Amino acid sequence: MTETCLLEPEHWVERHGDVLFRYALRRLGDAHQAENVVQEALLAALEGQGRFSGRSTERTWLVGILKHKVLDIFRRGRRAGEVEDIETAADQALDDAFDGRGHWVSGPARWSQPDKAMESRQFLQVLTLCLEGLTQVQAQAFTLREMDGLQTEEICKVLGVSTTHLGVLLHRARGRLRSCLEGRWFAGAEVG
Amino acid sequence: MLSCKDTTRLASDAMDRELPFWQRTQLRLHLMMCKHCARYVDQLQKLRVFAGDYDASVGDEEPQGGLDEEAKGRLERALKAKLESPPGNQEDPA
Repeated sequence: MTETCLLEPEHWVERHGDVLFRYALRRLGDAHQAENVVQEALLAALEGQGRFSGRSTERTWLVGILKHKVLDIFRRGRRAGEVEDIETAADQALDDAFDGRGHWVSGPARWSQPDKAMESRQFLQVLTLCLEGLTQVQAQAFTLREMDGLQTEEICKVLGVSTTHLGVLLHRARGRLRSCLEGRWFAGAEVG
Repeated sequence: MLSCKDTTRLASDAMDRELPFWQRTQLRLHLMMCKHCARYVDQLQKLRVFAGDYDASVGDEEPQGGLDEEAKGRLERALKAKLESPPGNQEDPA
């Protein structure tokens, strides 16, 4: 035991509990489920202590384990056909932005001070709210792509969808989030 | 000529994979001429930045949004139970 970086499981909850919980909550959107998966990850970490090399920090190592546990939940959540049922119908809210020939009815509004948004804690809450407004599989697709930065092939495997289908999911997730943020946060911006 | 509706779909695809040359050209042409779609694409890029920052913000010290005391207690107890159980116990005898 010559490593400078030792694991101290008795301090995990106090030192990393909040971060791990928020990580899970941002991906699962459910506090109860988030707590459960954090527990699952901590127990798995305890069992796998021997695999900790000391090259990363304790926290990074724990987040890595949690990440895999969250992906497992995404995988388990998909029953064959389920995605098809939810997503083959047209998305009325998005379609309504266009007229019969596919032109914008009024077009996206100009956002005022988008660079300042992330400095605000309320904006984080609005973002959370908007993510909750997506269907579960849309939110998962968006999370895997834009938060975890996974490539499309990997996401298709996790969610059990085709490339085309993932394209639809991401397009809808982005479109809905864009208009939700516009309505709930950037609404003060002038159009034009 | 692409419609605006088709353009929004293609613009989303372009964020995830490289489009074939012809689609890429059509998209670029449309965005050069259409202020609305150009703005839409710009906002999707901002959304990507927001998502990255949102995820990174798990490490920020926040007064709320973490585990409550009860949940911490539950996690502590679960860890403690496992720490104190002898290694042999992990295999279910049943």
